[in-house]
Amino acid sequence: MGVMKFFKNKYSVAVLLITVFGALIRGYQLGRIPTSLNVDEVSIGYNAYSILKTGADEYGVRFPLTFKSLGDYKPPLYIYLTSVSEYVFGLNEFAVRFPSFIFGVFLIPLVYFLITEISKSEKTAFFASLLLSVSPWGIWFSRVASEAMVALFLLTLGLLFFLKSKGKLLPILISSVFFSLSGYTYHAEKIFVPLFAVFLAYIFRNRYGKKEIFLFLISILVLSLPVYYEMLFGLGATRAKMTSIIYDQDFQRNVAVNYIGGKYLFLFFYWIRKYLAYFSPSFLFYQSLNLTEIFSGLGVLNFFEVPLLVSGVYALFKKRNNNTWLVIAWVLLGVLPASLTMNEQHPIRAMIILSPSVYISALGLNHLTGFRILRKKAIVLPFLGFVVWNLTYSFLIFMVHNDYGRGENFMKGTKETVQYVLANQDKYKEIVFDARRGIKAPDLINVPHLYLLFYSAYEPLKYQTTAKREGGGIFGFDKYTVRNIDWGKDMNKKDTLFIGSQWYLPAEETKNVAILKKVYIGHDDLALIIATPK
Amino acid sequence: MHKLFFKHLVILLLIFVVTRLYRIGIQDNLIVYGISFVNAVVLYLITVKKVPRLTPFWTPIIYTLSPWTLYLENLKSIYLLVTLIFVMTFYLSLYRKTLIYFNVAVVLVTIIFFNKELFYSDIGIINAANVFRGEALLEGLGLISKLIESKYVLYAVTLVTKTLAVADPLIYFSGQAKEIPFFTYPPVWLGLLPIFAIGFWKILGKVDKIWFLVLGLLPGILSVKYYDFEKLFLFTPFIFLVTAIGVKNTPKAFVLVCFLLVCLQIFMFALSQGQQLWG
Repeated sequence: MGVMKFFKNKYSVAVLLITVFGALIRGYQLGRIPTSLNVDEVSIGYNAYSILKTGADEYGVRFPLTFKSLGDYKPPLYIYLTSVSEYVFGLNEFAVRFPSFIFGVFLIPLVYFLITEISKSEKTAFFASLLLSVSPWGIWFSRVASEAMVALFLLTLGLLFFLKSKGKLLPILISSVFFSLSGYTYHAEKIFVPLFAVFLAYIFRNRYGKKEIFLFLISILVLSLPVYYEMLFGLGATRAKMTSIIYDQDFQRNVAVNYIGGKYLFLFFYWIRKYLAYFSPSFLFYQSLNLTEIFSGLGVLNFFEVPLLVSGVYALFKKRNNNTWLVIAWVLLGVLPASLTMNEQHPIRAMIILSPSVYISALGLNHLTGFRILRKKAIVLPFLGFVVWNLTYSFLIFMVHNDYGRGENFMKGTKETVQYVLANQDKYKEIVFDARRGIKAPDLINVPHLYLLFYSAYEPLKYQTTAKREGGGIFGFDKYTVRNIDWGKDMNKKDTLFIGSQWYLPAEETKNVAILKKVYIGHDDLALIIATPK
Repeated sequence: MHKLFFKHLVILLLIFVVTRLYRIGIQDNLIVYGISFVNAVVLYLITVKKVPRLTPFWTPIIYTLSPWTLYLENLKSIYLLVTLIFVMTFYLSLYRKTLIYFNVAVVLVTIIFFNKELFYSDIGIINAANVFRGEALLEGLGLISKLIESKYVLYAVTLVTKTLAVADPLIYFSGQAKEIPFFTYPPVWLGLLPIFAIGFWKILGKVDKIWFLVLGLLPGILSVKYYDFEKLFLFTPFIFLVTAIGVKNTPKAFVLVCFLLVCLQIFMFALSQGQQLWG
């Protein structure tokens, strides 16, 4: 009966089809596009493998709440989810990206249900899920291992339960569980959730019972206590300090030059500038995803959403209802965590506002379709042509140009290098990787050991107990060492394999050095050299 | 009215002189400051006409105290004069409708004579088209790329992104553009942003001659530089007038809070970067 009812509703069927479509474009060659696992992904992948095999992270800490990882102190939930994924699919790129993918896909129908609840309009909700299915923000961060995508799903689910509860205790408590879990998944939610929960409690204080609202807040507080303890007093505190706006390079530079007005007063204006940057067209439409080396690239929303978003903001304010302030608060509070950190226009940290942004665009589309003149073929067909152009342009950037332009940011070439090394490791006593790489300059920090561990499925217990962390940038395990190569001294070390960039290893064969392999990426750019002294 | 006008004129002149004391003695600056002052006066007159029942003083004061104005005066920019002609023709068009064409003509003349190079001279666009085509060809998608990423399409994309970029109020009020000297301090004081937003909301969807002032964006859009703050100065009359409309439509207490924020920023500016602009 329920199935029949489902298929009778044209919007339900359409959303099902959109979800399948969304899954196809998010899942197509998931393990191969983006071109390689980036350093965060490979770290997540091996830590998840380590948890799966030993119940401890790469440092031997059992079931941690914060993963030290690369020194960036990752939140735990995504890594535990990846353990499950690796249990099913094995230790490979697909498994690492699978949690992002699956939550990114299920966000599409979830947004449909949420927007139906908020706007009471299935048409607007349908538009929102349609726009989300082709959103560059949604697609890209479903294709890379992204904690923020999973956190957003949990947040959206939490809000849906809260709104659907109609004041009943059990769904409100379930809602608080999802809200709290999002804080275990990504850093931004740790700041956003308590603020948003207090806001929800305030605007629903008269609609829901006082007891229920109180328990909602208390349960979020209690469930999130370990996260906040970790954030304030544990390893997470280091992370919070590391990424704070106070340590932003631009801010520090400006304080050094213009200190006269007072550091904190200046910080206030600097923070506002950063906050407002998330509402700038450059972030929204043409720059922020940073997927191309040349030209403007993609923003978090599609180009064709410009008129929709403008019209949506207009419609949101003009046709105010009880839930308008909920959406506004979601957006205004949603960019707050991102604005308090270093880095300008960070699309991952601001991903909290993906769901409300598609809602506003959908509201705009709904608003515009209300005008008879805009439904004329002379308007609709060119607009559809523009949409097709926009989506194809995004497709080319995702599938082609990103690999060439930003392959190095994804450590392209490392997998190929590591596979060569693993195949030839028996011939050498020691294998040395340089800790730096970069085509234009040696400005990228290399973490080849994680790629070695990942692609060789190195026994985690053995790694936890034998890894050598000597300080001073020297690090290693087994016969592998990661350190700065000094070819003047290292050229005398026979039976040693060296892997590094052209900045630290000779690029051409001489009487002293045998070049075994050169790894090229992008436009035939020499990324890595594998060499051994003769 | 005349008595009030002269009273305002004297106060305006005093504020103008005081904020420019550092360089006003240098003879070659006098013409620049003269043009800039007349600009402020014309903005005053436009406000009298367009925003009745508001102290028309606000618009020229915002203009006079804006870092953007100081920046152009410091550069001795020709765009101060162009803006003056632009606002004068706009002012006259308020009395005689046909003169609005002169307003349009000023923008067109600016684009033709003062833009040595237009955006399509940017070699980066042609390079991008070639690089994209090459990459797509290697992946067997050459034909799609030819249709989707041809240089003409990329010109259009550039035009759209530049329009979006310069139509973004945040670059004027919060200094998003990272253009020297507007990184630390915005071209227009941040505290005025909410008032501008309210003013904009008020005129949105209404047929008003003020919209003609948006034409002032065109030279900036068509420029090679992404944010050309000299050419974009032609857009300031729109910003200042809409802000004035905002002042009229905003509760006084809120206006006061906003102006306190402006004063705070001016204080910081005067202490630090003002030295660089004025000195």
